[in-house]
Amino acid sequence: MLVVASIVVFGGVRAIPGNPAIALGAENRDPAVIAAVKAKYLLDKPLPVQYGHWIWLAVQGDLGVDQRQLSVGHTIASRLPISLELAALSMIVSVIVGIPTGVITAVRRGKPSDYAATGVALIGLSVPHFWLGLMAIIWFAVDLHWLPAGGYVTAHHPIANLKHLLLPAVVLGIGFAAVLMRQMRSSMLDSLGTDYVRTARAKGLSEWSVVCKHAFRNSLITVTTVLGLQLGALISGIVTIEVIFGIPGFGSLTIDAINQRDYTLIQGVVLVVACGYVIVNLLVDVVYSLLNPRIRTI
Amino acid sequence: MSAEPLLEVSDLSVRFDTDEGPLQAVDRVSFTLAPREVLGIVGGSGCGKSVTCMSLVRLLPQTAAVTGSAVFDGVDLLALGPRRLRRVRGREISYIFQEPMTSLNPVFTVGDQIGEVVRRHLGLSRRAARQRAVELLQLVRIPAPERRVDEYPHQLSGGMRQRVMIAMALACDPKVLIADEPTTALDVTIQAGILDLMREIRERLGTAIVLVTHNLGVVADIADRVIVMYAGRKVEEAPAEELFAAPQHPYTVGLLGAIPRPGERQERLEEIPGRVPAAAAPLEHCVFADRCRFADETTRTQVPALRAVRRDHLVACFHPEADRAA
Repeated sequence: MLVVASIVVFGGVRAIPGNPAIALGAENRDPAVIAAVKAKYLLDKPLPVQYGHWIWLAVQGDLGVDQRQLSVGHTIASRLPISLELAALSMIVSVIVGIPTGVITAVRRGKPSDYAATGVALIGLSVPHFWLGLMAIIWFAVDLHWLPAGGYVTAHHPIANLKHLLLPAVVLGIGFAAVLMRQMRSSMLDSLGTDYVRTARAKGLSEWSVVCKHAFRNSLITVTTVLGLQLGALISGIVTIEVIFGIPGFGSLTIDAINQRDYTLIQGVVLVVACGYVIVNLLVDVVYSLLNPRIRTI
Repeated sequence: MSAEPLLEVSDLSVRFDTDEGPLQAVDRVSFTLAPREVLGIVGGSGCGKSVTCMSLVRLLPQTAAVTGSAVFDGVDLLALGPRRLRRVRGREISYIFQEPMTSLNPVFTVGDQIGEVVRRHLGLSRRAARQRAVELLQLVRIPAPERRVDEYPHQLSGGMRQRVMIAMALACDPKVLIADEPTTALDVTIQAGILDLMREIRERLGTAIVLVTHNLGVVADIADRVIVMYAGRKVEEAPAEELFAAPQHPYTVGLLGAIPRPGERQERLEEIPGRVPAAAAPLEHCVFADRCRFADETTRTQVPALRAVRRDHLVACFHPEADRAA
């Protein structure tokens, strides 16, 4: 899986139009300089050799140096936590908003509150992140001065840190909350119509334990799966949000690297993303099996 | 049965508001249940027998409009507030469903699901509830209950799951057990085991049982008294032995004729021609008129009232067997 990902990364980077040697040599189009640059970065070697060289070092934890001679590993290590924090915050927002509204709308199906929430969710689902982000900046930062318009403060100043990340996290989280809510609503509706929920009612259990224990636990199984599938969307969402809010995270690093045709940096960044994707999917599978005893005991 | 009834249902009607319009599922059904009695309710699919039972503990969807009364222990179940209703459900009146495969929650252990009932109604601790679950599993003859109690429903067979459902239903020593086709989804040998178990429960615990089934053999096996339903109405009611010996309603006669008898060579089992009517409103004539051999002008214009042809033997028919024999 990761091997395939690494080959795609490597090939994909090289398929981007533009010549890194020229980008590096800047205005200096002297063929000798360009040749020297190519030799230094093994750009004159055949692609399989370049790949072999890169991957050999990568598995040892060395992602090479970028165009500015900085260690790609270090650059990523300094930027990644910022994005992880943003991702975690937006996930928290989406779970806090999405799961309860999903449950409530399922229970109050067909009532005005259901229609209202489902309608809002549809809007949340349709509105692109970048537009919502810009609107949020104009409204909450420029007009109301409630929150900063962008930038980032390290976690050494927790309050300022949260203030800076709140707006982007909410913007990013709202879209996912909508996805989560719709998913939760439909799987709760499925669960609420099942025989075992009828059994739970026949046992004389309270409505709370019928809904929040018997129906909810089963609904979480499908929702977890969807959550895992949404991960790709979260990563791409982080990239745009970081650019809009000027957050020096992993996403803006990726954009810079692509603009610079910085092969090693792009490769490193995308490889880390691929690893992250695999790891999170693994976690989702683990959670899934914890929630679903039918899988656990096979 | 002369004892004071435990449950007295009067004029119970259920109407569903469906997308295709209203549907009268149960039409003015009345019956009583005595303590320790096994009452069989038989009838074909869609005759309203399950709906009747589910309406007693109000498990029907909200599209169902239920009228009439069902007095249990001095209170009308149909008028009970949700909180008091929940105290009756699972504690006083338990329910066993037809589908053992889907009626247990797949993500909780058997012990959890049984224990939940006693924790809720009797306030037992988690540990005591587990102990009680093991006892109950033993009572319903599940082998190795100590191990089974921690298993999930998918690890059990259909018959075992139905036993778990029964254990759950018996957890609080209810006064009434409603068993809605408890053996239909199971194969024949397992069916016999479940019926034996229900008989034993009645003997040992004195639980009154309402047994819903379309299988007359099952009824003959364990019921004291039988109600025959057709198209939402009660058409006949009699002690079990009497019903089998001298059925009065042409529908009951037809049903009994449709039972294969071992040893008797028959070319073809008897069948009742026609279909069960589905009515939007209560019919103003005999519900069986369209399929009845003895139907006449009266049958097609009037509703036959229930009348006693013998002691304890009621029939809603203008031309019961007894009259024709005379």
